[in-house]
Amino acid sequence: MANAKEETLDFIWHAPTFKTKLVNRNTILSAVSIASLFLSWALLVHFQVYRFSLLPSPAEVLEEGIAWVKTNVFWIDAFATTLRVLVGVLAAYIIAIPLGLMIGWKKVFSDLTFPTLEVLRPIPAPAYLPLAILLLPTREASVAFIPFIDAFFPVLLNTITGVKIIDRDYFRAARCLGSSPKQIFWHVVLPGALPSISSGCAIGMGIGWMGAVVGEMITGKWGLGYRIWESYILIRYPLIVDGMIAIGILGLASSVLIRYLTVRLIPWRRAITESLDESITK
Amino acid sequence: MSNTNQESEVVFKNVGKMATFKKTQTVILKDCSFTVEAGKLNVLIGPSGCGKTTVINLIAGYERPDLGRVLINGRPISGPSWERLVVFQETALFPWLTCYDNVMFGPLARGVMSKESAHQETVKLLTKVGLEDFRDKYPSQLSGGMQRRAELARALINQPEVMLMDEPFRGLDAMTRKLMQEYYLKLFEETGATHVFVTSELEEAIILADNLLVMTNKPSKIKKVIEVALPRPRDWSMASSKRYLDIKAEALELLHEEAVKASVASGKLDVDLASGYKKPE
Repeated sequence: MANAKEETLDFIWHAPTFKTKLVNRNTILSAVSIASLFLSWALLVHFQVYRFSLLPSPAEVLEEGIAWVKTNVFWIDAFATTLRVLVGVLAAYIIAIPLGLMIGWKKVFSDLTFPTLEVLRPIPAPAYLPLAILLLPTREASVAFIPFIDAFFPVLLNTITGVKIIDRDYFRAARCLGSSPKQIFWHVVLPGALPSISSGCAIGMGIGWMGAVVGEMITGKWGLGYRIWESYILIRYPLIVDGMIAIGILGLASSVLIRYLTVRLIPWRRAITESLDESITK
Repeated sequence: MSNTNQESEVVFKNVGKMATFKKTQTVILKDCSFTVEAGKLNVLIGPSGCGKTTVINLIAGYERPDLGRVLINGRPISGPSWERLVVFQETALFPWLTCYDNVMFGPLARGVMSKESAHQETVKLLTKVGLEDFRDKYPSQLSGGMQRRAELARALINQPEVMLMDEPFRGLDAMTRKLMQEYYLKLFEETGATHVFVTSELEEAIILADNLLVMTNKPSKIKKVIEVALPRPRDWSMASSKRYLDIKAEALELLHEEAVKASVASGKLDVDLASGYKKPE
């Protein structure tokens, strides 16, 4: 029981500790889950259920995938997509976090910007693409613009919420201990919102991958999204699935990496989980 | 920490305060006048919901009076200041700072101490409240009693003129509460300054107080100021002294009157039961 609780908290606040045992109940269950996905896929294709006869089998996908990874094409594709995601998503962090902190903190700022942002929010990122191509100097930049838009709003909204849920007493305490507004920003608003910002960043990174792939399908010469679409047109069906798997793995890795980096910034949350662990195991 | 604190007197002059709650306005304080005596431990006690926290907020400068004036050493209070520090009901230690950094916060924020002297003061205070071994822990790793002590240290390092304690020991278990009261008495007796302590526990109120300010129901004012006049340093053995018991009896009667009035006003109690007290029209 104590172990299960620990695992959940681990997942939330410090995903990869690398200290937890490699083989335990959780990892076995995860393996079973993934294995059953591949097994049902193999069976559906093998028995040609419905239109699954058109789909490549896991064996074909594996074979084609190994061949693909051995070529430069794969590495250029993976690099191109990763770069677009990182540029777009990091730009979203750089703009959305300070903006969200100000919107959450100052009513004036919120009234000034939030209505505009609410109008822009429902517009799906690919709808921005034509304008992005017109506005931005290079095609690369316009593809990176889509993960930017996609990551922007989750990061912004998480940041705003992060500030709003800070207990009013912390502001009061900081104010009467003699803090200037600038000090309140750095010592209350920012650290108070950090846990929420951290989750926003991880979510934004995940969505950023979706955005980049969509962008590459529409306009692009390299990249995993482009490769998937091209494989469909060239009737190289196994490569479609290989592309999908590559995106899944890279997307997961980058989200985990973001969590790993951001929890370093919030040691007091770890303190909470540790004291929880202690009280549970006692 | 020496007795350099300037001792400040807070005066309420005919203070009136309204509050709007769910679109209905209630008068919380009405024609409320009293003096918080300088250098003394002034305890506010009264029925729950009678506006004790409002009094604290007015002195802290978080709220302004609608009528009348709140004066500190003859000057009106214009806003929050480190000279009047609040220790809150729930802990307001910054969860993202260690115990040590929380205590350092005030002096560094105001830039009044060098890092070195702030460090020395912090270590001294943490030792005084028995937290020297916990200085690098985050508030979430401390017990409830430790958190309150850290909070006391965070306030005391600023040498405020007025310490405002808003039911600071609420929610602690009985043993911890008793220990905290002893710590607090010792700190008060050593450091001085004017203290305003809000509580709804009568026994705690008497053992701590120099002056016991008994409040009425809403709209509240001070019903009576009782001078406790038990010798200092105080300890719990005095709870059996005649003086303590006399005060307890007197205060209980005053509070009981208010409790009865409150029940009648809210229609919870029948008029007959309320020993002849008539429901106001």
